[in-house]
Amino acid sequence: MAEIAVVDEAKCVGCGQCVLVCDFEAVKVWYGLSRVEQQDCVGCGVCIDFCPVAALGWEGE
Amino acid sequence: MTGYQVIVIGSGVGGVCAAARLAHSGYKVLVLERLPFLGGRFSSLEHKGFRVTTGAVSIECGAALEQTFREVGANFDVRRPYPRVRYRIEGKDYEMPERGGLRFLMSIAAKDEKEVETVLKAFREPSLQPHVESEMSVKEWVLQFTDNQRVLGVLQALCGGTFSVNTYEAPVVEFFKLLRRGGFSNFGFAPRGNIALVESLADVVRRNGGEIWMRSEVTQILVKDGVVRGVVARKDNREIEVPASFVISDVGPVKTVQLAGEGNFDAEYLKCSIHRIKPSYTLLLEILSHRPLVDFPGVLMTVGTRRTAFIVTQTVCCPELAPEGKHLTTVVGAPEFSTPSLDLRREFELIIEDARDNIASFDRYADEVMMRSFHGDWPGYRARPGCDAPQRTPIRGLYNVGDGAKASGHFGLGGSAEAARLVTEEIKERAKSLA
Repeated sequence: MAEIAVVDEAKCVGCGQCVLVCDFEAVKVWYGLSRVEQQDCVGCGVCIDFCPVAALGWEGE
Repeated sequence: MTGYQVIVIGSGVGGVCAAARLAHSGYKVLVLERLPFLGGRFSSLEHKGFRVTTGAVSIECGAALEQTFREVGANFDVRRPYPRVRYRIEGKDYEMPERGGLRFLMSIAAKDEKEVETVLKAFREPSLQPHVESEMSVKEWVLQFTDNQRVLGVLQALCGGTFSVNTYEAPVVEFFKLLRRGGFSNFGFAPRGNIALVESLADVVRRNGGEIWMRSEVTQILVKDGVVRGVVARKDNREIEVPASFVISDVGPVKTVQLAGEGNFDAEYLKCSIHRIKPSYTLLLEILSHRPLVDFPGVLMTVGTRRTAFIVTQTVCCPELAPEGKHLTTVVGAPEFSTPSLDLRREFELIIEDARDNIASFDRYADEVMMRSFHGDWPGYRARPGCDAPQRTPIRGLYNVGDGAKASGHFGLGGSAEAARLVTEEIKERAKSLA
């Protein structure tokens, strides 16, 4: 099973860039906070790459 | 060593303006960008065929930013909407005239002709002075003359839309400066996204022998005997030392101090320039739809709302920003205050209520809504008006540009571009005397 991206809520500012770059509609930004829908995440890591505040990472890391 | 004369940290608007200017003047420039895209908060990302901003919405024309493009021979691909601005006051829309905007607005908002004259005099006279001293906020200032809520509402929309702060947070002296330069009404949008503008400046850097390294994070600014010596950057999981005579930081003055080491800065500089920087947060609703939610190309300034300063459907002016037949609308507002204790859930509930009030059938036509907030290390502005740090630092050869070190009397992107111009002029002078 692929690794899954997760949001560190303490670091997330809610700018939504992860939503913009996700090709799988697996990330949403609600009320200024991003959330990864686990069932839709394919583990491509693009959201981790583009997050300007390093709020996204791999689950378990 | 082959070396670079100038290293620019960060490819935000201030960074690319400085890099393009110096490369254009024949300097060997290296730009280091930690992220995989150029432009920082002045960029755009592709989402379902839409080009969506990473921060900046409207782009001022005819000022410092456009001047930079002209001087380095880059394409300033910005389209100006017409009509440009409408004000919505108590449910009625008013089109702003080309000139006399403040008088026009006050003639709608004020209760009688006497109040129009009183308010205009209160702002016009100080804004004609070259220098005015006051610690007051815009709200404190106007309350000396009137407590008319509609007048306050117009000023709130102006402060929120231009500075991303409320009237009680905006220093009145900055508002005078804004009026002195004729407001902020000459603006447009980038039909190919903000990224196209940044790419155009980046091309100037590359064409003139400069380099831009992506995914390269600066971890240290090297300083010895009060003089900058270069940087340490992490690239491909390796730390490399890159020497340079000048370092221009576009990552904000606070971060610049961290990177160079606080011990290299005197207490006076830290107290008077760094610790007084206050950010402003921004709330953005990004709405994708099948029809334009604002029915004209310009900006709808909303008066008397809970949080919203303006609403714009950029795709009316620039259909290129969306797939055919689709539209992108942005609702922009300033939250109640800009500190970490802010209740973002409540803030977004209020701005959504504004959207429902001001966009007919909002819930029916909005296909997707993103509730985006800009704060912390990715804020609306690192420094709200009047509290930017100077571009020069106590370390010789180290400068700040961009947000956090915006040039006085210039606002938004123009403040960053003007800071870059001032720094590049100083570097040219210094380099001449070193040669």
